[in-house]
Amino acid sequence: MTVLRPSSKSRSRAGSLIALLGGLLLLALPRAAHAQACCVGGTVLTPGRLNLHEEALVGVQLKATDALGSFDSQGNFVHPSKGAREVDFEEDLIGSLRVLERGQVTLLVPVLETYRRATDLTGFITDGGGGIGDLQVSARWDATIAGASLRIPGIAVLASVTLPTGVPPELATHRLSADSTGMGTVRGGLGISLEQTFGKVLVDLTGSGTVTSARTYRGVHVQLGPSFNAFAALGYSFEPGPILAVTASYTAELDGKTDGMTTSAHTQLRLGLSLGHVFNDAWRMQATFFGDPPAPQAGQNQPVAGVGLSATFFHTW
Amino acid sequence: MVTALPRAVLLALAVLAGCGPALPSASTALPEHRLTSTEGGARSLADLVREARLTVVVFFSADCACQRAHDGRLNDLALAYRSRGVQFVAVDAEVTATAAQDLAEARARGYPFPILSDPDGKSADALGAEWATHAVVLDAAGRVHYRGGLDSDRNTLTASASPWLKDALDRLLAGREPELSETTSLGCVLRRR
Repeated sequence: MTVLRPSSKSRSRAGSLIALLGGLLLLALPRAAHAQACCVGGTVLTPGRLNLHEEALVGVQLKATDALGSFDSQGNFVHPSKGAREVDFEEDLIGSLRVLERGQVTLLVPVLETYRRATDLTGFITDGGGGIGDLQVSARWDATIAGASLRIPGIAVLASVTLPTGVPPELATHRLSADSTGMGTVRGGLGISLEQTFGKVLVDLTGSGTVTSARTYRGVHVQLGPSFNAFAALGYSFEPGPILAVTASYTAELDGKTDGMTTSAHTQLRLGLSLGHVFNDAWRMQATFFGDPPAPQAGQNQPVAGVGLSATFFHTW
Repeated sequence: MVTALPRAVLLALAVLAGCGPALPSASTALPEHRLTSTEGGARSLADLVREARLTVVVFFSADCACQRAHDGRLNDLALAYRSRGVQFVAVDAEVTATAAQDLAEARARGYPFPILSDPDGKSADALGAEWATHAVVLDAAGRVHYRGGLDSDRNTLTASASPWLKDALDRLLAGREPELSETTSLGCVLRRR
């Protein structure tokens, strides 16, 4: 299969969609807002994270990603071939509950849709499909709270489990596998987050590691390598007004094994600009524009590199 | 708008908070060290509480949205209860507290009560304050009768908020203990060393 370069017509369609989402966000912003300098991390960085004094939340995250290319095994950005196209949509249902004074759990149920267009000898092939993806359960325990001490930052321990509730690639029935919505493995992660506020400025550094269960399909034994993620964010809380943050996330998945043969590592750098806005004590939202820079060595073995927009709306208690 | 569910959750939290350590029946050891007051001079909390039938100590943070949201209610309470022998005093126990900033804040917010600057945070330690807007009601002997939030609102004020501090004052002035002697404080975390 050849991945093809998107046409200008379809690209403008995706651009219109992103513009529409952005427009809706702007319309949703009220004239007055209530930022809380000590508590911006949950508002602007991590969708689904409970802020101080919040006991529970439910939310919906809408995400659209336009694939602009890919990264090869040498770390070169590869533009798609002429006519190729991939647009991914995702709607996540999110629920969080405080289970300890400083502990919380979050459940995320993703619903994915993928639209692909490629070429073969007969011409264009188009494919669309989707469904429920891999369900994610995560937990967070705040040992210390950001802003409570000049010397000690907020320190949180993170844990997550992803369950293979989606359709793994080998079970996809569509020609371009657009109906694949999961990885087919159980993934478990542990991490630690350091966060501190300096007046209206927020700094966050988070590191995490993830291991993936082995699986065998069609007689092939596959073991993905462990992956590590480093996340950094710098935010500013306007008073009154929104909270803005620039973010950078780097993920490295080490070599894996397929039937005893080493498979190449993956890396990905993703940059983001996030806006968090608190409407009132019950409603808040977060929007993020993100992108994978098409620079050499900014990724490796990444089948999809692109730009996208996500918007999340929460009701909190 | 606060729906029935959040109110129920908040009430449950308040009740659960009330199941914590009992309030001291003996006098609390209030700090004797003198704190700069925005009304001039320096006062200690230990001295201040002896001057009124009841004293409400409210922990203050200049940057806290919850604090700012409650300024009007706090001012109204202080004025309404002054003639009944209740004095209010705010304490800025954040490490960044300065007398000059607290004076500017007290004037800007129109507080009819002083702010005491306590960058060492000894008063917060003595009264167990971790959050801005945390209020403690003491009698003239230094006994704590109520500690917790001003009310059940966070940053957005609602007409349906539970007026925890007001209810506590009303009952204490009527010679009874508050129904809820401990509630949840919903303000920002106080920045300490």
